[in-house]
Amino acid sequence: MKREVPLLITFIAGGVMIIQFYTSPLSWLGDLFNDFFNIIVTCAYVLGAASLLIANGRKIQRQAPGWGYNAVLLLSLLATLVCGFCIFPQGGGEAALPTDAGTPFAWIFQYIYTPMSAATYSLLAFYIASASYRAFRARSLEATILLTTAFMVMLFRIPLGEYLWEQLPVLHRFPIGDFIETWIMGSFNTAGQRAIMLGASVGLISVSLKILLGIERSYLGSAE
Amino acid sequence: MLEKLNTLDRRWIYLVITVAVVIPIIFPIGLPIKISQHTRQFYERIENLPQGAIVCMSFDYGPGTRVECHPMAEAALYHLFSRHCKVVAVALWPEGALFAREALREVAQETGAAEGIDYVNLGYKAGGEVVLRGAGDDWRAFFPTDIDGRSWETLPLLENVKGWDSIDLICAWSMGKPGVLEYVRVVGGTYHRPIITGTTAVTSPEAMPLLNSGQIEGILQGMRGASEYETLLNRPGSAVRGMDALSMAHLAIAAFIIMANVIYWLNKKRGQRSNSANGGAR
Repeated sequence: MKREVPLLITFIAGGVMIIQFYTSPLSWLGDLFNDFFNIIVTCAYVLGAASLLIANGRKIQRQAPGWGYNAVLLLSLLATLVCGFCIFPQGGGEAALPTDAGTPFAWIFQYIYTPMSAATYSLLAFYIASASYRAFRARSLEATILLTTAFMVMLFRIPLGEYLWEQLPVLHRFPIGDFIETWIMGSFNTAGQRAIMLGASVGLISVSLKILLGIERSYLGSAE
Repeated sequence: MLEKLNTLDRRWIYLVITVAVVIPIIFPIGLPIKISQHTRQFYERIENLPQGAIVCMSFDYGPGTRVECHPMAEAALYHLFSRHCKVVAVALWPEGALFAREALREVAQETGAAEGIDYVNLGYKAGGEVVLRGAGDDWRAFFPTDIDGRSWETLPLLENVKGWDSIDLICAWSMGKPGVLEYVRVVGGTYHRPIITGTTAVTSPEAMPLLNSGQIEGILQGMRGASEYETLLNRPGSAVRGMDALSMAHLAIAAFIIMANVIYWLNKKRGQRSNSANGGAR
């Protein structure tokens, strides 16, 4: 039963969504299943938070290596939850919400979460610079083509690159910006991206069919 | 010397990048920004909207890509409010709803747009593609209140919003999934509504096939696109200010790539020479 019921639910849900897509009188079924999906997604948030609490709580209890990080994570989660659910703005009236501007929740989002998240993302610039110094080598013809293309896109799609190009004798007559936009991004890149998208879509259809028919069962857990 | 450069400590690289980014922020260079064809196309699409047109603006980005997407959103809001268009903001990313609130309030103050009449923020809804399909012909059922809990009756702008058919243009600020691809699949494919987008520089190559096929009608690509758009609107903002730093960082990385390849070729030549010398001795 533990295996059959999820397989049956998957088959019915997937089958209904496919059928309603091709038969408009049955589109109400699609809407109904969409509502189910939204309810499940909302429950998944609660489940996710509970799972986070249990997993991190156990590590703190066992004082596993690096348990301090788990404690910081749990404290942050609980503080944000309390602020987001319980602390209403003062004098905000009946319609006021704990997520309104000026509340502790908004403060956490604006002054802690946003800058920390941006700082983490911006570290990529340093890693990219270091990686490009170590790995971006013209070792073969293919690598040279990739390197040249990346170099051109990186350098000549910024104002400084365009300015430097315009200072070159003779070459400045060639519109490098248009060339990159029309040929590299508009033609070569588009052709490659389209091939990847088509390939991925065909792959997705085949995997979806395997899941619906119960051939692919890895989503049920490691025991499968 | 070559060996030393070949195994250059990464901290030197980090230092150069830091200097390349920080110096232009303190001492701006003010390099001229050329307008690309794609940005002009995006601008024209909004410029051609009739007065009073309703635009659905989707804030699908997080703090990590705020620096690229937020200036685009603010500039587009300024453009739309200046043309007396109406904006209904939604978000498929939880953080997006708060960024929408920030951008709407800031630009509304600048342009005098009124909440509930010129713009409404419906907030975040979980589910991505399913939200777009579920909203369908009856947005009210899916978004019963705005982000601040106000009902539809109290928001005059929403009187004319029934479903996707009421929307004249969709403008999606997209940094991944869910994002513009979901809008193209559901809203473009099923409801045939026109879509324009602003993406991060990293995700813009993925959106290019959609532009070429006409599934989206305009695109702003990364901070560069945002700065071009700000320049076109004659409203320089954070994207224009950031372009000098971006230019210098790109230049530094390009210099590192050239240097690494010169070292690689010199090492290779030296290796070949010593090999042939060893062979000759044998």
